[in-house]
Amino acid sequence: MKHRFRAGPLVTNILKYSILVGASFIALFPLYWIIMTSLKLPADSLSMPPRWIFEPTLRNFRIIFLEDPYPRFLLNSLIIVTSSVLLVVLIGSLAGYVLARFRIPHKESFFFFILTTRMGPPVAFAVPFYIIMAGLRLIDSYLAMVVIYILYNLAFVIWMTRGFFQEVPLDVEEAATLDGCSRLETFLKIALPLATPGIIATAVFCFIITWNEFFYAMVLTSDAAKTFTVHMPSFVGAPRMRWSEMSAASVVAIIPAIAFAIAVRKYLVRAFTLGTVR
Amino acid sequence: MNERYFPYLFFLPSVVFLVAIVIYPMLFAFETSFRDWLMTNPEAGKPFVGLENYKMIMHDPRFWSDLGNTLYYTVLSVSASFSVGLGLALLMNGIVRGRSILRTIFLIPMVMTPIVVGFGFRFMFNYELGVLNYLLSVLGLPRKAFLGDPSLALNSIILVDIWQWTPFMVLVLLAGLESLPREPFEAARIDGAPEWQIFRHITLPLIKPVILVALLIRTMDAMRDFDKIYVMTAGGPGIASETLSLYDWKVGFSWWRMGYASALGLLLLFLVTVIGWSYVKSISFGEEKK
Repeated sequence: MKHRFRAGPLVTNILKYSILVGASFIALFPLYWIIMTSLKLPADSLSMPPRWIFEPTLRNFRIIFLEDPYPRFLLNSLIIVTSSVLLVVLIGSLAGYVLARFRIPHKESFFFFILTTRMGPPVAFAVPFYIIMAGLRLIDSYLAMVVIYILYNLAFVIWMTRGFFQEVPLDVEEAATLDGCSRLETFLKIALPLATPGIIATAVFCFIITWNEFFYAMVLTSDAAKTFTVHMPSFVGAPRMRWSEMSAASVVAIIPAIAFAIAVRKYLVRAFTLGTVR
Repeated sequence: MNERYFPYLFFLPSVVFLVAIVIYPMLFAFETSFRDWLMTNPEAGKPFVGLENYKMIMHDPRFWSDLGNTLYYTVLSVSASFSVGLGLALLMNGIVRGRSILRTIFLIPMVMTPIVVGFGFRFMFNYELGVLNYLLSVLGLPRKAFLGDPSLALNSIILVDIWQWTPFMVLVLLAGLESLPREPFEAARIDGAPEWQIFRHITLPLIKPVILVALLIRTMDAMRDFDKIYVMTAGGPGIASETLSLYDWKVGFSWWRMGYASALGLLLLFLVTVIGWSYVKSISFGEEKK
């Protein structure tokens, strides 16, 4: 008999947990560092070796909210993102319902088209979009941003809501039709309420990724409709690197994204894989 | 309302939007890609030059260098985050307590604003003041110009991308592992099959569809990445960390050469589409598996 060394379950478990704890530490360290820097005076944040223990201050938050136009750009982001998400969920979920319930020819080609608009490089869309918007004198307007963000999310919304509508049991809808409900009534009274949790989760994910969006906003806005992501680089430009203020601005920006993501974490994998993994 | 028109009515707004903001701009870009158009010089007009822009791209050394960078970035980032992610997912699948807290921790990097991640790491990568260089010096290693050294810059950005997206792999692959049936594993264990064999011959084939989906999505995301690269190096030093997205952006929005930018954008879209299409063909993505 070959004698094989087998680690006891306790040893294996300790090993497993220490690797996982190490990985969590790496995953969280940048967030920890940004939060710590946001609470430091500039002198503390630029000291070498780094100060691990220091007297926390709210100075940086006071500066970005009171002495910097940052709040205006946060508000721009909020207005643009919220209105585009509401519109895209309305438009997209109608199409998602049709895709879930009716026979559509060339469904697979349609899916691929959807995937292209979702996965295509933004720069390929930005060049013609910029020229068109410049022609319409809509550069740096809320309208242009809302429209481009509808493009940014439409494919995702159609695809996600299609999945949620498919999960509504067909016989419930058929029973409603037999009871004399019209197609519209069946949709409004049966399918929509049952799919609502999924639709809300979809909207929350659209909010997160649109809130985080930088490229289109950088190309299409300069001041009036500028979003917070486009304003961020100004903290580290000349005349000096304001890392403390930058970190405070970062903390304010990522809190909503992280909070929303935790709220809908049940749907996270599904959303990030376009509904293919549940 | 006439019942027959119902589906069309519901579908109409999406179709209108897709035509107006996807198909029309794409046709517009296609048309523009055959023109020589310097947007800052309206007097010069935009003469039709046929395939000239595409020919120029084929002879543009910067295009080939950036294509190499883009593919290097994609392959390295996707394969590393996949390997580490699979390892961590297997570990998480093997523990009883703490899974849900780990899941919550791992979702944080992927929803952090890329621009914030980029600046955060730029600060941590700083040669004199960065905490990572401090940690290197504590370990007795030489400090590194993570973003300033042409041979390191792209690798450093890739490291950040791996940091941000390994959690995606962990969560997706873990979801795949958790959905597997128990019977084949129990049968194999009763037969005394070693763990490695079980992994190789049962686990891997069963989660292959999930693996392919995860690879597809990460590949397409990595190929079009822009924000982190822009913030950390803007493609520098020189063009050492420049990818095609960065280059196309510079051509279009710094040099205002819209014809050349359109041609580059369409080529990039074509490249992403071909890669995506070959994946889709191999996994019949989007079909319900009953």
